[in-house]
Amino acid sequence: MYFDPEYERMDRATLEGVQLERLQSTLNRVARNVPLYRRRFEDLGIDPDDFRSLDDVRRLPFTSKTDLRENYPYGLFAVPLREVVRLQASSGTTGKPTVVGYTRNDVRRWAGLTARLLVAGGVTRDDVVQVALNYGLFTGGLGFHYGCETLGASVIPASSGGSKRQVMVMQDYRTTALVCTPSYALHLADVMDEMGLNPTALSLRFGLFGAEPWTDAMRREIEERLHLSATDNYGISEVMGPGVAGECLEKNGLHVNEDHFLVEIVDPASGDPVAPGEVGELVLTTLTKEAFPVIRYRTGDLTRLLDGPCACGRTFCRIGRLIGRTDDMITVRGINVFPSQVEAILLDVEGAEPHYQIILERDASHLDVATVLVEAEEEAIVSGSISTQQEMIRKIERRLSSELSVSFKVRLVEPRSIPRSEGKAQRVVDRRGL
Amino acid sequence: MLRLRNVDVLYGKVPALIRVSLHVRPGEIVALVGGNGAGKTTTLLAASGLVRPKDGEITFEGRDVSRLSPDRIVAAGLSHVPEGRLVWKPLPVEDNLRLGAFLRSGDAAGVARDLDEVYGLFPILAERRRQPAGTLSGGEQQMLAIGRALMARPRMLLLDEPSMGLAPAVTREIFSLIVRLRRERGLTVLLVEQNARMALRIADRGYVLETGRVILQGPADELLENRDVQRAYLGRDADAGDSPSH
Repeated sequence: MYFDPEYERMDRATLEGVQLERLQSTLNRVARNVPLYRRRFEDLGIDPDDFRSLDDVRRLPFTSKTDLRENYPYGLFAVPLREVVRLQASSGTTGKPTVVGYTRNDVRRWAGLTARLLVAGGVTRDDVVQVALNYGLFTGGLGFHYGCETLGASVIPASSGGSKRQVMVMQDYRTTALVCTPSYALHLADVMDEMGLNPTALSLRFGLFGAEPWTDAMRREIEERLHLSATDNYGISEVMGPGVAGECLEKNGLHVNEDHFLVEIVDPASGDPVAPGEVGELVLTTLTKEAFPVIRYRTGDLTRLLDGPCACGRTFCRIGRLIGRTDDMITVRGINVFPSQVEAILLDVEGAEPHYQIILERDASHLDVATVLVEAEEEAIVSGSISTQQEMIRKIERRLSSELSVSFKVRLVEPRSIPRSEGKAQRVVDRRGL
Repeated sequence: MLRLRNVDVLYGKVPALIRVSLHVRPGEIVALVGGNGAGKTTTLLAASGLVRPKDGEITFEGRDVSRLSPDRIVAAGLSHVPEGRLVWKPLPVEDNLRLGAFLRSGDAAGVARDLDEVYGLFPILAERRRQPAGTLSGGEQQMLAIGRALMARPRMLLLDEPSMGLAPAVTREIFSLIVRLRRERGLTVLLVEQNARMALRIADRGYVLETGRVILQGPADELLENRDVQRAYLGRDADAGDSPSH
């Protein structure tokens, strides 16, 4: 099933033609209407007429979060404020939020793009979709909400929080599709357990999860516990919100809506393109946004391009799961580690839960000490024999150190003792006072 | 179906088109809008081989046509209905139509059949088949110009300012005919119009040209909503009349 088959299955040559046309008119507009970009063209002594291929975009510098901050709140808008019908903000994972605006056309196009992802994830107009993402300045809730309405599904704007009420709504309204963060999906499963509710009694069929990195093992757990088919999706407020990329039911990478976003993957340090398939920072250029176009925006998100066609028939390129953020990266005794790498290992170890927290400290000799608190799967492990515990701890420590080249201390903690988030989970506590 | 990529056209030393990229997919109606001298007509002339681009690619159904002669382009299935209609005024209507089939000299039966079909589409032309084309009204001459282009059995039409000099009611008739040609014959259309609103209403997508460059493009309904387009080409003053609270 496709929401927009003509574009989603377009042959590459036609698609690249569409991208080039849209890139050229976007560059014409930003050069004329946005002082930052106009200055950049002037400084480089080039003008938008010089861009004749998609690769030419690399002649322009990146746009960074700092550029956005320096132009807070409206400096990068390409239309006067009176043409803006919606204002949202980045969720502010790091630092001061960014204000993003949408024209009427932007809002409509955005809805069409989230509708594509919903359909790719299995949702149809017959579904009852519970959107348990925050409604407000954060783009997640309203972004998916409009997509559901555009698709014609019945949408429940549950927003985030109030987990017992979420479960009640899910049960009483016979929700068939759930949209939230993956950690919140697991939290809802826990709440159902506490309430003594068997998820098989629910009507759930599909789930679209995003807004934070997760893993395939976490997907399996969500699918088993909530009895639904879970797909991953990716969005970023500075670029649009949800609707940038999402998985189809092949669950083998996220299709980027390439007719609206130009994708590059670059080395976060040098800014050079990485070799095909290598992990790097995702850089996006909007091709159709009117109010808030961004050129070569460094998302700070790490992923890689996947090779080969997808069995679903979509011709849009796929990116791998987001494995973390360039600014999530922690450095332990000089070695770079992403929390998602720790998570992937925990999910692989029997008896450990994917709920964890990394504590970073400095010891008396000023060396980094990294500790991972890991929830045990059952009470029995924590209260059980010391040797069982020791064995499991050693197993996790060995794997962490052999795969990540960093020595972590591992501490087992009781099930559900690590605070659950209702938004993005706090995976790292850094007490090093850096 | 038709694709222009980075097309530059110079008239002498004056650039008429700068890096124009656009495409038309099979069965689409695409409108090219913009002010006088924006490069709309030049774009059509380049596609039909009447002016040569200095640089860039033009393909029709995947085939490079940028160096083909105009008659070879017509034979490939791309016909041009020029601005101002340019019918042969002293000649009878039917002879004008037959001129459109000049490449099909060996196919008398086919030409006769197509002539009947054109008369079916435009009954008024059948009534006036013996009259000199110069005695037709403006709207009838436009129909004749389109009919003449159809006589070459095109799969795609390039239509230059079909509404020029026509009364609004006649313009509406011509436009509904364009929609009908697409629906009934699967004809693909690239339409150049000063009357941007009307063109965008029947088009699937549109491109806005300004000083030889594509400055905006997108679905026609989005362009109709776009305030830059409204201000510049739709004659609506977007700054007046709204937001009484200001």
